[in-house]
Amino acid sequence: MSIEVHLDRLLLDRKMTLTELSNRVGITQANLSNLKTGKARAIRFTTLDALCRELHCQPGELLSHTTEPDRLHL
Amino acid sequence: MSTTNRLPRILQRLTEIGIAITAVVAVVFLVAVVFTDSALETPMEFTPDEDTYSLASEAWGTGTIHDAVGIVDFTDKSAAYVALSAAKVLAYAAASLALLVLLRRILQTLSAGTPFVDTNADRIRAIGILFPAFGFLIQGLHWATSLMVMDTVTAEGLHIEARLTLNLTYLFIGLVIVALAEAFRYGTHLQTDADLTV
Repeated sequence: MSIEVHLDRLLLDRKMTLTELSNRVGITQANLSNLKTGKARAIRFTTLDALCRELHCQPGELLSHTTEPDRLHL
Repeated sequence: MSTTNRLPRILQRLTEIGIAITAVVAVVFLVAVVFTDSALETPMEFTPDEDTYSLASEAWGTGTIHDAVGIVDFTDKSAAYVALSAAKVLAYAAASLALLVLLRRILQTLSAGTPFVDTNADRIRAIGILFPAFGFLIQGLHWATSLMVMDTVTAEGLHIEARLTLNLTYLFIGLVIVALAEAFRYGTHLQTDADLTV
């Protein structure tokens, strides 16, 4: 999949831990970890909305498309 | 605990009881077949040599028996005949035990809350294959015992045949179960998608 998830970078910029984000958006750490590590196959609009709200970012800052196929960027 | 959680556990216990009962019954039948003088049932087909077998009915007049299928009980048993009969008992026992064990494993995953896994689709498909395999095996064994007996039996005025009946019911049941197994496999893919959707 050629979608990059920049959750790590955004958490670092906001000085926020995964646990804190998990508590704020109401998503389990396991699911956020799946998203962070690129294991997730899909993301709900509600999840994206909650993440953008808590991280004060746009969807484009969280996700990006890479031209390299079949490689996960974490 | 809700009823939906309790039901698989109850069914799981029932299959465990079924496994124990099947094992005991198989041993009892095996001992009866091999070591006792109990009669062994053999399906055979009878046809009169001539139209000498007639029936009379006050309402309908006379009728003639052309052929009949029946069960013959033999009490004097040869070693080969006993061996084939024991094989029938073992086939019934093995098929029943395999079915119950597979069912128990499926119910275990259902109790654990993770039924939609590929191994369960494989188990359901195995049950689907088991049905026609067992059906054809048992019909073949019936035929083999009938053939064996037929050569030694004489009955005046009757022509005796060993009939190979192909009961397709097992095959159709098997096909339906295999189709359901593939639908179940698709369900496991949907479950994985749902699990990996954040």
